[in-house]
Amino acid sequence: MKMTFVRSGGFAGPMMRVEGAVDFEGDKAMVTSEARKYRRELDQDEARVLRDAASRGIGEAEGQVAPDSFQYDVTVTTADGKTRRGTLHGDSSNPLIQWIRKESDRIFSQK
Amino acid sequence: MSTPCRHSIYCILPPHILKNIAKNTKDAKQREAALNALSVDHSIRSDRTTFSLLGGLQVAHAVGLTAATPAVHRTIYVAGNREKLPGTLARSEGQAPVKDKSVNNAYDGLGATFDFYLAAYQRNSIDNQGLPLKATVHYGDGYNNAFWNGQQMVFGDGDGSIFGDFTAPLDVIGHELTHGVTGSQANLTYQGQAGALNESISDVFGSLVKQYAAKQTANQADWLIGKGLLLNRNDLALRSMAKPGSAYENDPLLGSDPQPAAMLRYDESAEDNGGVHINSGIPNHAFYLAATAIGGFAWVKAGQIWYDTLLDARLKQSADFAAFANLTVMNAAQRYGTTSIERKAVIDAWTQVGVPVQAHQAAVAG
Repeated sequence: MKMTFVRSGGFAGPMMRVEGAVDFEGDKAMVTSEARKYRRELDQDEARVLRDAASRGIGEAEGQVAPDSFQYDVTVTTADGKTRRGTLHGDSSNPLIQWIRKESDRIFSQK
Repeated sequence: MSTPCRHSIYCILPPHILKNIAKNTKDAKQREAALNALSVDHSIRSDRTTFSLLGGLQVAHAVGLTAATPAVHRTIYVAGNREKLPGTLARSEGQAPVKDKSVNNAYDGLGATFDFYLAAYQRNSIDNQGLPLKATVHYGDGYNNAFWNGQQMVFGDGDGSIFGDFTAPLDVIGHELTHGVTGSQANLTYQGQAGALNESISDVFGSLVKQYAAKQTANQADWLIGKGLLLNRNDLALRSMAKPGSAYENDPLLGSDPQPAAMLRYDESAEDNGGVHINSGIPNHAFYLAATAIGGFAWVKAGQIWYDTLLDARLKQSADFAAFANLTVMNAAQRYGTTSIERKAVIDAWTQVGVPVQAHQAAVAG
């Protein structure tokens, strides 16, 4: 399974744009962001939680978009080649948004 | 649990009557009851308006229907680096400054923005009816953002390495509060050109709040948004209204400012709700051009034209740049005359950024 994500928006706008990819291999996963030369290997627990969140998290109904909140565009490709896309907003308790937001901050601060 | 509305009569009286009772009665119990009812009314009205701002019911275009003598009513909370709103109460209206600088920044910034809207446009708070202003600071852990959630302003501390405290620049606070004003007026959809206009209006009035506080003319102002927010990059800002695309250039971490100054470089991206923080550069620049061509304090004439347009019932939620531009021309004509230099400055500004205006139609309407 592979997940790609793009964070955009926020008060600061384009300077905070971040994109990344997560490749799931067995019970582990690797996060990369080419533009920032970023790599981080997820341990089994984090990979399992993320895989679960990605499997469930992008089909949710959208709420009202709060001005200056972040937008997250997510694409998940499963082993059988099927692709699902979704756009999420804000700082909700959705575990997928929580994970992408924190990872985006890590990638953003990578110099 | 005690009910805050022990005297039922006070629960159904309109606020201006309650204020008169509180002000004029010699009966201490009556005064207390009226003040209690006013306090409850504030919360209910706040909730109702919040509902409206979230899109449940649009607040009516009710210029001049301000209920009572305008007075700012601020409440600042701290989230303690968690993400639960509103957090713990830290400072209420009239209380002395506290040790927490972010709390005081938010309190002062909301006050400066309230004062600006009242002095420049006789607007009584976000809804023009004295809506209490609520903000939460220290939201999240190293949170690099500030936003308006339809109910209140929310400010992060920044990560401490790239971004500093989001309460520090006054224009950031003015920007966020203006999202509330827009939500209570035109309620522009936060998508595509309408969304970019929503963003631009927040930048315009955020910048004007800063200029008003510094008593700067259009030619003295820096027209930068978020200057001082980036740590160790004192000369940089997030956006430039004078020269979109120049707020930061070739920065090893931030890259280059992609904002366009004209329609030729309009960004069709689906990201960021259709590029609302990128394409806002176009109407931002139009405002800058109009304001500097007119001269003097930008909030007096150019700001007034943009404010009139924001309140114009003809401004639709889905307005594009051309629709907004035409309304600014009509409002310039309405206020200053069809042959005025103000109207010409507005037409020239939109023309220069590549947004066509129907000058003849605008003249007739004006």
